[in-house]
Amino acid sequence: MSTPPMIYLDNAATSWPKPESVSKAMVRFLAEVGATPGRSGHRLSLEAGRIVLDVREKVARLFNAAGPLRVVLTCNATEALNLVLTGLLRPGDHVLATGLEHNSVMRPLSRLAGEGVVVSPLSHGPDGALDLDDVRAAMRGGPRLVVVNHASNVTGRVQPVAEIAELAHERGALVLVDAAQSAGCVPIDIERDGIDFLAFPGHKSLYGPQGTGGLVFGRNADHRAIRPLKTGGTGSRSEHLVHPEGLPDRFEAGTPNAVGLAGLGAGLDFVLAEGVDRIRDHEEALCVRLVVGLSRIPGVLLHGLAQPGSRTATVSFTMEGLPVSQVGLSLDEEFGVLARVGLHCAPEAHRTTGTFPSGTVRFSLGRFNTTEHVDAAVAAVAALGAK
Amino acid sequence: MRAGNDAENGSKVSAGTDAEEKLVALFENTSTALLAEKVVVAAGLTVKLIPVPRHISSDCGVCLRFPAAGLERVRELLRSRGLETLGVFPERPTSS
Repeated sequence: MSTPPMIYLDNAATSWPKPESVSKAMVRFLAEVGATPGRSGHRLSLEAGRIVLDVREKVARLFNAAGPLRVVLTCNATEALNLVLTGLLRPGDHVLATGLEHNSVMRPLSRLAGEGVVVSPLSHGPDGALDLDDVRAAMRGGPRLVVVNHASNVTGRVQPVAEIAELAHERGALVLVDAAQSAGCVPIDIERDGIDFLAFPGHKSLYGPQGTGGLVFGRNADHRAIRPLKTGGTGSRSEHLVHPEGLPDRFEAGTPNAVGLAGLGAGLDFVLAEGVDRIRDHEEALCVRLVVGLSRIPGVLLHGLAQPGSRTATVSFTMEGLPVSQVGLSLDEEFGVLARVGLHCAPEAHRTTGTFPSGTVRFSLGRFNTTEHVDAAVAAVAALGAK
Repeated sequence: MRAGNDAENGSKVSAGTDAEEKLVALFENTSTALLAEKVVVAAGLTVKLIPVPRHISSDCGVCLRFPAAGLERVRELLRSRGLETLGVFPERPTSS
């Protein structure tokens, strides 16, 4: 029995494959550069430092940040989110969050709630859409921070970040955007959209390797209001035992994942060359094809689906009479279709969508998926449904 | 750039007195120094990032070394990008 070729539909977890240039950049770094970025002062350290600076500049360009030094590099979006949530919020602070937040937001908030931070969820319609009038009303509580899941990793729904940020700023609240699912495939302009803190992963739609990500500070966002998660060596002002205050060093103690950042630089080159709009169009066309295909299969239910233009290429579905775990296993074993099943680390999102506690099967498309992949996945689901 | 810093440190900084004389600009952190290098190199100047001379600071970072004759041009380029220095000093300690 021949094994079918693999069809990777788990890009919401991490993108795969990466452009070839990404692994090339990483191998080159390890073989030819290798040094600690910037701190040691010799030629290899300086070259490594330039590679990391390049990443900051490309991120700044992609999201229209005021400059590369407004870009703090972290190991993933979870670290960036934790940095703001645990570093900014104090007992008694009020924070608003959407009902579609991932555990990388909900778990820190749960812990903070136990320490006296007041957490209020925004309310959604059953389709996951936010009502901006409800949001405006919720702002009257005078929150310190509003957290917005830009695109749901369960349903793909994209929230109107600019409108929410405007309402937040009217009340003097800061805005933290979780761009884990949107960075690189949904246009983001932190200046235009009024984003104070943008958390992004390097390893999803920026096509870098795992172990990379960052936090972009808006032009007027005060980094000094955030207590760093960790302090330590920064390669600057070393004679001082007090950790530096300025960006980016304040939040970058320790040796960074420079080889990973070399890869992220290549991923960013790819995204900047393609253009976020073109990537989005490619993914949206595939998503439409996928939704149409799945909708035609008896017994398949799609969950929380948003309209084209308000979603990423992520589709959650369930099949009548088949547990999601079984669907996932059969798709993998019999058809080579790789998908994620369950709660996707976002139980709140499933509560909002009505799929808690059993969860969903999730297909998430990326730049390197094709119509053939979509058709094969649909055929596989149809075959499972027919059994 | 904080011009006052140079005078406070007692070092004589003037442009064009000696073609061989090099100056170094210090920055708050390595990222700023790397960015400064990029900006100045893009404008066509020959500069080098070197370990901070001990007589200036015990900082383990790097500083931007350039010919003294380029002082005003470097200041202008850094100013245009909103990059501040922690001062500009002679590369070698002055004999006085």
